[in-house]
Amino acid sequence: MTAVADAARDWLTAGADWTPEWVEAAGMAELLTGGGTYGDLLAVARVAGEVASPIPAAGVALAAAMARSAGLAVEGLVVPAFPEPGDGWPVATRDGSGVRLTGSVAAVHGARWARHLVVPARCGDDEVVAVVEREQVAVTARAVLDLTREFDRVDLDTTTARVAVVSVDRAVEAHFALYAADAVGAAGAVFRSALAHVTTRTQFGKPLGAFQAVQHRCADLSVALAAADAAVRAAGAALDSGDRNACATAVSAAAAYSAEVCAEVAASALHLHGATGFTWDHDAHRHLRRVKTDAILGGTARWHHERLATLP
Amino acid sequence: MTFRAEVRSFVAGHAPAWRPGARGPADEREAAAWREWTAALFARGYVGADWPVDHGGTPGHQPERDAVVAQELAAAQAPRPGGAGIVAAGALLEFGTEAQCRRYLPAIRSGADLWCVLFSEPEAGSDLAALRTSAVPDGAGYRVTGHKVWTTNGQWADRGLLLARTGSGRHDGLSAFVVDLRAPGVRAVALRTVTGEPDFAEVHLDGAPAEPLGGVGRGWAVATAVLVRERALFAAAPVLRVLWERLRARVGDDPGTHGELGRLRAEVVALGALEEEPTADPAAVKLRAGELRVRLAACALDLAGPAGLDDEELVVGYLDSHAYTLGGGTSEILRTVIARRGLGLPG
Repeated sequence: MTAVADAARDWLTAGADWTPEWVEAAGMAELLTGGGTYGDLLAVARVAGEVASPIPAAGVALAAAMARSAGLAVEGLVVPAFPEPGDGWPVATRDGSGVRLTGSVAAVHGARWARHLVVPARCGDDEVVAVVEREQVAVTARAVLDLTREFDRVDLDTTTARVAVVSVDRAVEAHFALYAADAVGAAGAVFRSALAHVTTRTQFGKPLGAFQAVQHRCADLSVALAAADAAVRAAGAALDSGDRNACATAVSAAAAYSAEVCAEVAASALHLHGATGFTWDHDAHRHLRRVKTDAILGGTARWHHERLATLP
Repeated sequence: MTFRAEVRSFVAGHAPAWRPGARGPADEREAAAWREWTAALFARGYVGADWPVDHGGTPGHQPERDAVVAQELAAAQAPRPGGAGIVAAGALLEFGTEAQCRRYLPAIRSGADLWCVLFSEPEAGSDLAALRTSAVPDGAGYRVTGHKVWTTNGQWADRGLLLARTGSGRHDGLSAFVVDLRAPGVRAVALRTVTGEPDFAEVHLDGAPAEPLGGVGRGWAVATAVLVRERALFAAAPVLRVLWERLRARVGDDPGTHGELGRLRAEVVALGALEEEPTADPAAVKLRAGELRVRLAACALDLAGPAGLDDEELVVGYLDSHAYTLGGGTSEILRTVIARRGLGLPG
């Protein structure tokens, strides 16, 4: 894996008791604007999934880069507040001297810790990037399936937003891909744990992994995981190329494929741990919860399938 | 013009047109065209560029061009140059003597010799090392006797790369040979596949002359190298992309099919991404590609409904797709290889 991934792994592993200041100090906000690629961004997201990090690391990098490209200043922890596809986008209306921003975003990772939120919105016929202070919007904690990250609902109704007209296409695609990358990392971690288990756990006088039924299931899972990983890397390369159609196809394929395959890998990995894997104390369910959450956010597999059927 | 565009245009203009899904020629005229096609690909350096320059390889060969050619040939579903000629050439270059390379490689390049691979037997399919065809020394060379089967293009090939038994050891009792299929003692009988096409053959050997390749007792190493080379030689994803695009064009814009079409596209794109990774396990690509091909072909027939039942392209595509989970290692063998070699699970 890349040097970026290795560095991210060390940093995220050390960050169990993280604070917004700690993320800021690490310079995560400068990842994309400081010479990093979208491939690097996805590598960070993948590692975050692998180590089940609570930190919205890649989100911070993406949101900061969007604000920068729009020429809007941000401070402190900044996270992306992107609507799910199919939900309406927030709406910005020019209102005398200011801008009024209304709408809601169903799931924002780390909104409660942020100083600023970066929101894609529609303003008349324009796409805009809006920056709002977290204290100016309603943030409601959600007790979601995933136990390793904190998600909030964000309701916007403020006249304090700052907006700039700038294309948000690539950022929206990248945001979809972050969930795919996270899912690949998390599914890979629980799959490796399952492999270790079937290698050591003995039944009928031999390791579980010596039975063909178990071997073939593991082979299928590993191939699917490798393909999902490759699809995510290809999505990173497409995002870096900037080609709009290539991005859309590569990202939707990575998102749809990862959503289905990684959820299956994580579920099978839990199963391969036997009843131990079904206990609260075992980590398998924490990975499964994270992967399934990733599969549903950033566009469901169903939504991406629909899109892939009609993309050029 | 980019190299890819150049190859694509050449393939479109020169590849012989065979019946849908066919792996071999239907008659002597098609066989002659196949030889010309093979010679043209070698002459332009599209295949064989990686060979040593002494044997016709391209000076300053760029390996990334091989991948482009493999992708374009696959996407056009063009006939394999020289049948198993490229695979055999790989074995000759890796295991053969200089004299053998001089004897056989020029005729592969010119299309004069079409090759086939004589490995499988009626009692030795997935368990290849169980093969029983025997080779016994006969003065200068060897004589081989046995029964080979599922030999793609066995009835058209001029030469065969044969695996036969020279001793009792399961693996070290196997040796590789070059067999002249036009010699006395060789009888090839065409077999029809599920599509009705005579695409493979059984080959009866009755004291046929054979020349050892790679030393007696090294047959397993030759066979393994051939199978690995075969998997690396032909790109899987490009043809799946073409099949998916054809499926979409056929279905038109029917929203009821979007879920299924979109899922298949995601899988094709992911497989393509995997195949293009330099570290990808060829067994993993082959496993996934074979199963995906079966599903694509079945989906095309399903979505066409009753009207598709007499559509030759759909019917042949559906039936023929089942070759891809069998040939070159069955899906079950591949899963076992991946689990044991790739994941380190106990054998």
